[in-house]
Amino acid sequence: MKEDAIIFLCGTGGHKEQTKRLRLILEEKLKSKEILSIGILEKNTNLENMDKSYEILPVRDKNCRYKNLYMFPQSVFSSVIITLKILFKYRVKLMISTGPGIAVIPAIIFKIFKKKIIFIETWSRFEKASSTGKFMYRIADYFIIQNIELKEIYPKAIYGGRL
Amino acid sequence: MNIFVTVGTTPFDTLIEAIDTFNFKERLNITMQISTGKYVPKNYKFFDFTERINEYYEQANIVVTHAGAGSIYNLLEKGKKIIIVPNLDRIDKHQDEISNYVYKNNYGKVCYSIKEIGENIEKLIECNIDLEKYTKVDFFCTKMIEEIIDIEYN
Repeated sequence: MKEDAIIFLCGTGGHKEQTKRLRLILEEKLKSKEILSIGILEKNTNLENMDKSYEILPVRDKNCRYKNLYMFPQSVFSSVIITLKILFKYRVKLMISTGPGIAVIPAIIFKIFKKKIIFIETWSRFEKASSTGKFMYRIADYFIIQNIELKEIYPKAIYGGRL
Repeated sequence: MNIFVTVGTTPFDTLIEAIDTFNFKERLNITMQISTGKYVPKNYKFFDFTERINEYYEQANIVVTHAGAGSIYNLLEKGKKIIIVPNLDRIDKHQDEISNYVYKNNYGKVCYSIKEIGENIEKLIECNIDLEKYTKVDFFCTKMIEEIIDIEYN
């Protein structure tokens, strides 16, 4: 009998802080329904409040363009393997993420398997959509923005206040 | 006068060096969190990362911070006086969006030119600059997400 699990997809820096806050907000509900919190994390993120974590390789290097040539395919490969592994091991119905780009491949796989996606656009965006946000706006079942200024760019988004 | 400098998870050598080499009018107690930066400060205490960043925030009179939203929101929620320096060493330049947000609302000072950081720090110390209080609109979609969880995991 597979255990129920909800996936938190999370990258380093501000994304980790947002996921931490989100996980805390949902603590009671997840505990009461005995749903495990599984983290799919960018390497070296070390998010503490997950029941179990899996690491995938980052999509890009923030300081050096050339590293991206090999980082990108490695990241895609590790994402696919880990996402499929989790889907086989747990009863997953929902995935939540604030980005960044590591959320994309797992989101596509979750969509293929008819799982629901909640995407919360990162709190650092006010004027321009993030590249992950632009993509997720099309495929997420629920797209939440934290800054009201983004309503112009994402008219169908749900404004949710700040984490 | 305690000044704390934080660069978050990505290195920001140009900022660290600019502060380390600036000739301040008076001796300041500066501590620097430098991440994986390669520049080694010669004049002030520094470290790469800490689990206890809130303690450094509490003790500081002024915090100089990279333009990471997480750091900025944390500091504004604590009512700290801040100077934001967008990190343009990074390839993606999205740090200027939150910098503009803070600047437009006068929640803190923004230093767009790293050369001027020393002067910006001194100005903030000398003049009692009036900053607007930041009030957070708390996340209010929790109930909605809980309902989604109820539906999906019935």
